[in-house]
Amino acid sequence: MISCLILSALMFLIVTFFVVIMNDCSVISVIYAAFLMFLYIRMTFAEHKKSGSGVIYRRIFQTVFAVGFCMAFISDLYAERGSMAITENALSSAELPFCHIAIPQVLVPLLVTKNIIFPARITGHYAAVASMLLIWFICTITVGRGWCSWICFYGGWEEGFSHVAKKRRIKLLPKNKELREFHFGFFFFIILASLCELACVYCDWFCPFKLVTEFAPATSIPTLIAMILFIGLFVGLVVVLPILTKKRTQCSSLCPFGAFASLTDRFSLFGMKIDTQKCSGCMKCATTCPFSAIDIKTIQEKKGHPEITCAKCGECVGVCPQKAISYEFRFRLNKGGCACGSSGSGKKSALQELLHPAHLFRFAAFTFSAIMSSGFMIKALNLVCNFVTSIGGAK
Amino acid sequence: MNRFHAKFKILSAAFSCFFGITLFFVFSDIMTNFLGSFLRVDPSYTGGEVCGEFIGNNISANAKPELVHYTVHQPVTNARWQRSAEYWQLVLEYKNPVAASEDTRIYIGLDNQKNNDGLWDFEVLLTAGEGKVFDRDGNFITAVEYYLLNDGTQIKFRIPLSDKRLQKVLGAKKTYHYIVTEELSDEINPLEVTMTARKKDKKAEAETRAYVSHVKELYYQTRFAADPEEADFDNGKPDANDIDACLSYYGQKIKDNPEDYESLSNYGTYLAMKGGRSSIMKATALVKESYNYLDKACELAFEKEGEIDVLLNRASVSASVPEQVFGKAESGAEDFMRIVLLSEDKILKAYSYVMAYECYKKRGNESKAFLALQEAKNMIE
Amino acid sequence: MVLEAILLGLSTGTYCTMYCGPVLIPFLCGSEKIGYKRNSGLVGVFLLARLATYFVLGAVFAALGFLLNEYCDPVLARKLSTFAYIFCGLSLLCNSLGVKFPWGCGENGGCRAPKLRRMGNDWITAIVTGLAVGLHVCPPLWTAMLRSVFGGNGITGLFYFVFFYIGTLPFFIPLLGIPFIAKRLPVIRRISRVTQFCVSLYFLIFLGLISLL
Repeated sequence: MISCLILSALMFLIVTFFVVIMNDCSVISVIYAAFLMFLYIRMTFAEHKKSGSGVIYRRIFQTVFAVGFCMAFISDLYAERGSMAITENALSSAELPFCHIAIPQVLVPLLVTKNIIFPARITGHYAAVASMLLIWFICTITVGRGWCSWICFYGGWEEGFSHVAKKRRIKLLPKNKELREFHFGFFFFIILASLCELACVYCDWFCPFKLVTEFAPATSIPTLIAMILFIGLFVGLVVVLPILTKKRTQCSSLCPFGAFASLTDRFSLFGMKIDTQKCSGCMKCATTCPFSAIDIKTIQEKKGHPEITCAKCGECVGVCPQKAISYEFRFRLNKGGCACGSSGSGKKSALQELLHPAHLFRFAAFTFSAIMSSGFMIKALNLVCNFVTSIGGAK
Repeated sequence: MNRFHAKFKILSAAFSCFFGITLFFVFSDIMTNFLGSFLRVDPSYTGGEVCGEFIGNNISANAKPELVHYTVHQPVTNARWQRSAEYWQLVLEYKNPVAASEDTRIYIGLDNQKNNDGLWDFEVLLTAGEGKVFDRDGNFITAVEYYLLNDGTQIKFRIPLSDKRLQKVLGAKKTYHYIVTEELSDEINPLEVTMTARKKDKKAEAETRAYVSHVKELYYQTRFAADPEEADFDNGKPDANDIDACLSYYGQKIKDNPEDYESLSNYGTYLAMKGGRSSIMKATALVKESYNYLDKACELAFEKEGEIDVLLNRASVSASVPEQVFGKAESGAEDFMRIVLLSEDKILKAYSYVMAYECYKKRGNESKAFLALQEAKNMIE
Repeated sequence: MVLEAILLGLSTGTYCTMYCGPVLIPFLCGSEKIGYKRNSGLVGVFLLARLATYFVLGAVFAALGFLLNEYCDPVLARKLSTFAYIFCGLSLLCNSLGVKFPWGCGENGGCRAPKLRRMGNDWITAIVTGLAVGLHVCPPLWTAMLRSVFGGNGITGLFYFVFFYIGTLPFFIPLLGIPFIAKRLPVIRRISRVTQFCVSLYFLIFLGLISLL
């Protein structure tokens, strides 16, 4: 309990500084800060009471952030260029916003050619190359692939759609392994093709999120084909399949950043642990996992941890009836073993609770979430307020 | 030892989570600028490597006097995501948008045109909003990709190299450029460009840094020579180094007269200075508050006596605060440029140009930064 | 002259590897039979086929007078590249569906596309893709052709071209170590097969057929 209060107090300081003070203490910033604190406090206390019961707050945050980001970003584009379409001016002046999905595509060419193969600003903008690379680096060494489940403003769409339907219509569990193999196969294809073309191939042809951010106007047959592709991918992989499978299908089958983050997750501080002594083999975790990171074999072979694509969302923690799954420090996860019993049972001191990996991970991930989202969400809320006011005024 | 090791790792992880991420975002400005100094976008996206740059009077006596900068890039082939996969980019920068909107002709000669007995091989005609390329016989070859940038003062155009006649520039070792407003005459000397990428000139960068420091030093010397330790001579003014005393002094003056823009401006400046010496959380709040006073002061001082000092205060604060946190570099540069318009003092003008140069560089606007620096050099060598 | 040719080759070598990487890396990693000798043989055959195409191109360019220019005709180079991608894509696709893709032919038999198995044989794929990749013409290659026998420089020109080609080869040396990784990580083979399939479709459709539109 005391640890929850301390964590909430620390988060309050962070939210006050980054959300309220940095945004001129406006009313909207205070409202958003209150919303963030509500989510965090509820999540922390819920987790304290029952492990895994706080995931709903993560889901709410990520879905809301995805919508808010889209609104704020599109309004920025209209302010800068007058449309969502990429203008030739912006392309020829290298002023496109650089998103995190382009990072794995530019890294290998950067090593070979020493140039960034994306027409973006290097500094001086929130979506500049240097700032995104630094954010990625810090994220990798702290929360790792937790970016996908806690921060990613694209993944929030799938997070939302995957919880629309009550029942799962298509079961992907038997094909988890094939899905992962396809994901990494596609990822390596994107890396090699980007190196060959010296252009970001995923951004060119396969990114479904152009529908909610920016896109090249359909002025020729290739750009028309690209437009049909990204609309189709968005509708199929981001809307329809998540509804039918209750999984984040784009994140677990196509997103190159997700695959890249899975590979670099080994450098992060945290992982997930499956206590094989407690595990009863019910497979509820595998069914629930939105990233297809737990297979039948993972449980049968008593691996002790989910597969490489685990995004540490915490969904499996709540559904496990034996409470066999938990967050753990990566340096404590034994190779091939289960790290069973290392967290121990019985009453812990406030300090021990505070330093529990689950608390630390959630704190780190939520800090990222709060800071990354503040600018966009406040802008989005301002837009909503202005819209509501104008309707009220018109009436 | 193992237990100690494990505890150390846990504490490090805790520190990273509780403070590391926050500190990273607080100091991200510095780290971003540092990383950004090593990165660059592939030249095929930005027009190709620069192979020739001409400034001010070196351009041509027959060009418009408002033409301050002419850049020639290397031709680009196999460019991705651009309108033309092969193109040759040239850039003209003017002092004002009016000059940029008038007609300009650029005659270009290639050294590898073996049957050439004339001065040039192609003519590029730039009129308002478009450009066309013609051959020696006046036949139209192609239209250029025309971009008007930087509030209409920069014309960037790309000549598509799909035509065989234009493709010869790919094999040219040198090109010759005549920039004129009227017809070309035999007496004009061309701008000669060697078509190889220029290497980063570290010597020039060091010279620029030295020049900037020199101008700043000159300004501070003249400023302190004019106002030596006013506190000793003025009635009641506190020591300029005692921030709290200054704040209460000017705070009182504002209370007595809320429209006293000089006091508002000084109060805002000292508030920002106090922020600079405070903790991170307090600093942000203080600097943001300081702008309330600085902005009000500038508003009240508009077109009045003392406007220059008020603008100077605000611009100086804008130039010194972290860009990633406050994003004031652009407005700071605008303030400095306004000071240039208002002031008659050559040293102050040069100082303002140099500070505008730094602000534009912070903002990533290389083009405006370059122009500001050139203007400063025109004031003081 | 020899040094100049080798240095020209070395300067362009990274770009050669960047073009050949998407073709060779998944192909070699996903090979059914892994072995250092077999791997080296496939790389060698690929490189020889590539050299053969360069020779043919050089002769054709010289005959058609294209080498009178000091510079590489970019429009012609892009058109040739389009065909390179189409032929490469087709060959890799046959190899994937016939032999490589997870549900293609396996060692246990039960091949769903026996005809493709003949066409998609690894050695044939290496030859065809090598011939196709040779259609990528970059400016340094054009320069080498110009200064070689194709530019009318006689027997010394021949040596110039050969040494230029040798200068591009060091960057392919890391590919000879692929069996080391493929043997230790069996999952790499399955992933590489998916990669190869994606590369083949991408080359064929996006870089090949769509470019022709």
